[in-house]
Amino acid sequence: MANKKKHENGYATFEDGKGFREIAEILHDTGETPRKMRHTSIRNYFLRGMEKLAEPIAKQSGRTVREVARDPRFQIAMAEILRSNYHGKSEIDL
Amino acid sequence: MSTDLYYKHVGKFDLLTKQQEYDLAAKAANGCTRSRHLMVEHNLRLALHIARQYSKTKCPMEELIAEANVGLCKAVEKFDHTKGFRFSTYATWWIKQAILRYISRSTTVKFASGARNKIYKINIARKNYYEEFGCYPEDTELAHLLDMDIRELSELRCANQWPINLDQPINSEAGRTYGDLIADDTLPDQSERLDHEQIIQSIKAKLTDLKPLEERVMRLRFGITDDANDTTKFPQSRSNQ
Repeated sequence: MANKKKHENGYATFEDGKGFREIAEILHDTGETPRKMRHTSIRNYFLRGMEKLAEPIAKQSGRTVREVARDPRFQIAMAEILRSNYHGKSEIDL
Repeated sequence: MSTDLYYKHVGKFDLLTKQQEYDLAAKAANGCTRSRHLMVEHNLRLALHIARQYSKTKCPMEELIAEANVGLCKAVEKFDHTKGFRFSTYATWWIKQAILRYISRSTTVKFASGARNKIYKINIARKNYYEEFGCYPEDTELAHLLDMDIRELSELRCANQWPINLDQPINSEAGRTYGDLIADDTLPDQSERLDHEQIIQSIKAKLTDLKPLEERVMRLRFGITDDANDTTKFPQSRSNQ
């Protein structure tokens, strides 16, 4: 049965973004990790980082940090912020 | 003819006695055009008097008088002298009807004549109430006084609001217009915009809390690098430390 609530339960995907398995391989190949990590571990790293960024939103919205961090809409917004930050742009419209 | 001249002209005709009125009406009923004209001329003062009662409706006085005279002519045509009433009693209703019809046609918002009459009654009742008690009545009270449904009364009162020109200056002074007071719904709310900016700033501040591996994973996940092997970091996170 199709998931009708993808915006609540799914992960956000990005045009140039990598999958968790691909990331594990890249990190292993570049020597950043001594051994190849499981994709679930990579996902946990990712979600832990997202939870840190979700704290200000969680405070304002009344939702838990965990909920906000797993919300694909939040992940997309974070990607936009980080991308603009990376490219030196200052204006972001959430 | 200017209004002043018309007032003088109308003042020349004396009121008819009951007998004169009866005789003229009898002749008019038999098709005498001259008698009809005389009946109209001698009652122009009545039409003028009634038209003046509607002078506060913002309609031009000349138009009101013209409409009142049309009603008067209609009353002369329809008057039945055999019933024994005075002509003025009968004509008053035709004149009022002609004026009210004109007023309902001349407003920007069009109403059925029945609704217009109700609005007129509501306004009169509110005015009388104010004169008696020094304040305007609540809609429920007014509905009770006029024996009307409260919902109907509220709708009629809402519909009766007089339109204003948005380009008209406030207090008849040059400067701000009524249109300037209308909020632009298409623009984002300023307080909301400030909230957004605060959130973005606090999120950017949180970037410093990320561990190097978390940050690297996020960047790869979001595709924020042209080269997958590029190990440079977010400008505002670890690199700032």
